[in-house]
Amino acid sequence: MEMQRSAIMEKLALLEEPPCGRPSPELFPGAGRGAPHNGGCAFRGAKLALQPITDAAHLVHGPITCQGHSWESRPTCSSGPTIHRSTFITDMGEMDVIFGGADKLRRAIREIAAQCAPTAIFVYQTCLPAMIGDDISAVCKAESLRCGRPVIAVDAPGFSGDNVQGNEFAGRLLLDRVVGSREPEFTTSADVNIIGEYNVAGELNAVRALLGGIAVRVLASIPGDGRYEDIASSHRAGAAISLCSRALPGLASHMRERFGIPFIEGSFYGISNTSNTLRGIAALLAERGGPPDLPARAEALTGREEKKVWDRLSGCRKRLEGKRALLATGGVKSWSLVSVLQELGITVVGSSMHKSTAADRRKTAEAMGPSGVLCDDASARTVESLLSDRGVDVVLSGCGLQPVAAMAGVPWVEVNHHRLGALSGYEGMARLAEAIDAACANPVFEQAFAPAPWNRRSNRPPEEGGLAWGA
Amino acid sequence: MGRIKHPERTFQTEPFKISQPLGAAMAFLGVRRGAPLMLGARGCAAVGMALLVRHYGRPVPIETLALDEASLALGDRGELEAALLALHERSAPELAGLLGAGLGEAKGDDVEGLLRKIWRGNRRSHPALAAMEAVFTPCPDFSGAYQDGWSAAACGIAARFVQPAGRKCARQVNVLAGAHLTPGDVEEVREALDAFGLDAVVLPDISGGFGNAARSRTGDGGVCGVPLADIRRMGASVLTIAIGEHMRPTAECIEKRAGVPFRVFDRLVGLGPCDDFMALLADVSGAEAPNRLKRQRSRLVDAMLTAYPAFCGARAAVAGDPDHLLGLCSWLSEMGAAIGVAVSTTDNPVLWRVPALKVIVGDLGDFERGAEGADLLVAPSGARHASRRLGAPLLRAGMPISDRVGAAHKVSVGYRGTLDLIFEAANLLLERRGDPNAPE
Repeated sequence: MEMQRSAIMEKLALLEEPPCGRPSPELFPGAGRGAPHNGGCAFRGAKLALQPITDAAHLVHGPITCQGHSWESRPTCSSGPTIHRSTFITDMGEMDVIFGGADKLRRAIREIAAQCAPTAIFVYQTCLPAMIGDDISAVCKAESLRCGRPVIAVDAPGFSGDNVQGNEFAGRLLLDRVVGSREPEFTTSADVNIIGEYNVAGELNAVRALLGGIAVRVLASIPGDGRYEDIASSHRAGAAISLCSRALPGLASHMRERFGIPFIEGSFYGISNTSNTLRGIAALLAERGGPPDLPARAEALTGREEKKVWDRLSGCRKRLEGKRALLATGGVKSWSLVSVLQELGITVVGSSMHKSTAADRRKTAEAMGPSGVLCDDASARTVESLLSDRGVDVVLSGCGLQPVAAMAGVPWVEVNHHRLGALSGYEGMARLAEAIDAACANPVFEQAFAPAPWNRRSNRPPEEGGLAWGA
Repeated sequence: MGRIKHPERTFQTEPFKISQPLGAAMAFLGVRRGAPLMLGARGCAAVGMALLVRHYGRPVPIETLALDEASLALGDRGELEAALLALHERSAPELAGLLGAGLGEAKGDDVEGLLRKIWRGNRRSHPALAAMEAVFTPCPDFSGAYQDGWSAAACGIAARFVQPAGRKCARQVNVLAGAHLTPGDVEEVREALDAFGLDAVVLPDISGGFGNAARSRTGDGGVCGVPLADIRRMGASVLTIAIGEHMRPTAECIEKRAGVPFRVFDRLVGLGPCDDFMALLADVSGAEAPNRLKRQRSRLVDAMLTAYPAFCGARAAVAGDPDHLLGLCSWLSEMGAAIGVAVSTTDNPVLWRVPALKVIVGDLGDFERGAEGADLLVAPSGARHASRRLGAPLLRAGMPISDRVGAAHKVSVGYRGTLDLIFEAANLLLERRGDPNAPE
């Protein structure tokens, strides 16, 4: 019961103590007590936020449902180690439920440490072992001493909260257990941390290239394409860019308080967002004693790149003008995607917000203006009714809604895990615009929704040759 | 025999087992206006649902009760009743499939008792609920796998609804479709029964859309699943045909309740089992096989004679749920291939009948180690990494097929399905043989 108490205390702590400068996240957005639910949980939130750390092993302690179905569904890319993409799960069986799974977990940690030699091991608690009382924190502490590498318990079982709370838990865990535990080899006056980028589809690479273009070094990316050592020494950065407000909420502000690292909230989705973020970080670094010509470099780069991308988009921009889009990403990236689409002349008629914080909701609502609706779930049924009621031309979502959009005859573009390329930076913006253009122009919808021959008014095919048939 | 291995494991790497609750959920979605509801915590439905949507390319509505720690500690505080009412309000299902996904089982909840209480109370307070049936299926995710959950749900549905019938329908035959059949496979089986003039009642029937899923603008997504009324009439059938050993308990249940005799086919892939199946249909219907089936059979025989050289001396490695594994391995060995290793998601007596040199109950890590030197891998999509590393072609089969489209429409049963499977496998083997860079 110790476990449960700790989970409850954790939740109460989250309620009472909102991260500095932010409203506290809503509890269970979109789901009241007893309302059937098909969204994520605290365990998934925490795992999504930490798994992009590429040189750590991520071990799930629980039954197969918790991880077996998803081990390859999250393509967070790495420029080096790939151990984060392997799934390790203790796969609890009946005997573990009866006798307790702590011993199995202990042996699993030892075997993984011996076989794979990861820099660190994150061990995730799930509902079933939490309920029967497996004390993973004690196991991790003991094994960490034994194997001489960090073994970190992520004690956020699914029932303790939703996705957002899991993200937040992961951020606090990194802050308390990892950040500041090592020192970097060297620092420069133009070092930044990037916080909240998952490097799905290699989006971080585009960001790194842009920052490299103005000679800014990324000291640590947390968590995307992250290395444990880099994150541990990230407290020496001069400034930080907090990207997706949902990923690791509060981490940037906590790091400002604890280590005095100022940050800007930015986004690399969209042309003006990208330019503003580059300008902002350049100004912040220059102010903090970085190279004084940084703002000038940023101006030069943004001017050049903006012109290039608008030239490239001149053709498809006319076709996209006035289209109506529905966003169903669950709130991830919602507000930045809204402004991206508006930049292309597209009206956003709605956005699903079931995975968002209150701040996300406010920002998204502001960005969409009065024409957009916020909906709290992205179930097939809700999206279906939105599609028929609001005259939607294109849906941007994860692949779960593809069949729904297809059945309703609405073109669809993947913007979640399985997107075909990075959407970040100027290049990504062009890719997104072209993807929407291509989806809307696809001729398949016209054919698919033409009436079947037996539903047509006349069944007779046009006659060829001189003779009338059936006359 | 001693060739079934259970490696001593403290953890799985690259697991490919799909849990029982998802199997049970799909079985409930094979009932018209069926709605599965997991009795689990918040995230239980989300991941599995995403996986099934990608596999089937259709909406798969699965929901969970989203129990929090207070409910887990204190027991039900009205969540189940509230959820059933919410479900009714949202989509008015005829059948709610309640899946005991593990937490309740570990704790020892009395869900049946709770349901009785809710239903007694509701007849007065919520008359609308009287039109909804609820079946509780315990399918804890810490034991068994997909096919076990599927089987448990089908059995629970049959046990609740099948009635003894006064008068038999001479042309009605029950088909209990196993978890390893795709929607395309189910349709193929139904067509075979049609060809003999028999009416099939398929349980669970996933050949249309799923349960209460969204309706298509084309108008054909709404017809889906077997209606409860048809399940009630399954007792009037002259015969039950179960496909897959895991459907035997359901067949036995129908026999016990309504006296319907049954035949179990452990597979419908390969010439021999298809012949037996058609012979049975001819016998039941008293009709001669229609010409189109005769032509299909002769094409299959042609295909076998054309393609067998590709299989000669080939070594295959296969992974899947037990019954699927049995079918694929038997078929491959009948074509002349040797199966070096067969990896099963879970332990099952049918594994003793799998014609492989070695059978392992394990994960895709075991599969990759065992498949060293194989010419052909037959496994779900997760094995594509092993395929790349080993340089051996992958025939995607089983669940999930997440990196290719059309898994739902693939047919690999019956004469036509076997023919397609033979050519697909043979062409992969030929391509490999023709590739000078293939590893020796």
